[in-house]
Amino acid sequence: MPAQQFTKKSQIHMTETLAVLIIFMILLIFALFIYFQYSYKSLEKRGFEFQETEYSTLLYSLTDSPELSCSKENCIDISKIVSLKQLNHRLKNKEIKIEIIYPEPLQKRECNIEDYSKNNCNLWILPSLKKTNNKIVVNTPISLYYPELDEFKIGLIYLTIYQ
Amino acid sequence: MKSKKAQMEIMGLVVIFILLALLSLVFLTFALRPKISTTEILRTSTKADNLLNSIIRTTTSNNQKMLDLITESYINSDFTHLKQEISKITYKTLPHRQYSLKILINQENILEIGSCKIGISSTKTIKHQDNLFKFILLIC
Repeated sequence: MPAQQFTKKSQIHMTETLAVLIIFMILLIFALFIYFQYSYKSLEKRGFEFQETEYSTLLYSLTDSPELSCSKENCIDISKIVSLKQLNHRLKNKEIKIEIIYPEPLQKRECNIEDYSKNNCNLWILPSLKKTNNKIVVNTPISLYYPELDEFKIGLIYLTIYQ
Repeated sequence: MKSKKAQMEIMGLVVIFILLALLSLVFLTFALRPKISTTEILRTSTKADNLLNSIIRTTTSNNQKMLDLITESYINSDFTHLKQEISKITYKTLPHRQYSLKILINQENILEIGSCKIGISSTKTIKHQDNLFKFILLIC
């Protein structure tokens, strides 16, 4: 076999190997890109989940805090909310909203101090000093205690954290 | 000779493809499996506890305690009003979620609302007017 033919054959082999390497590299880069995208999204999701857990725990601990809890277990004393409203208390970057859902109030509007023990409003709000569009809201049903009436109502407590 | 070599190469390619297909299948099986996060379990569990607690304590729209309404419904064997009141509560607190609430008085199953069979449960036992009430709330 002449030497020139050998060179041509080895050149073809070299090109073939190079092509395979290039294709392999492209596939590898593509796979790595997809993997990192997936990992990043999964990390982001886990981070969000951890944040939600943290805020949910904070929400659940609210019902045990002396500022809001009632004399019985796991409920909120509405008279304390009224007192906080009277003081015009504002939270730093958190908003607490209590929606009365049962028995259904006659009107759907924000409650004032005068509305305490009346059934004509459905929202008690302790506003935040800071308000942004980037926020996380967690909620849970809660028992609302009216000490003067010695009655319990059912509400939903929302904790909004502005970031 | 050349044909045999080509056959061997094709066989190798087929083996690689089969291996890749198997790997993708295993990956997809794990990736597409529905995951229940611990956060969701914690949240649902607290929700179930709080809701059951609230239902038991509440005063109904007729200014009657819930436990008294249950006793009255049990004595009269008429649970229509009780069912309506509980539905009003769950409609707002558990929107778009399946649930089941079972009420037992002295071990006797008196009422079951909802169709949830497997989920996160909350149980409470209370003594009221010489009767032992047991509530089981299940959220799917």
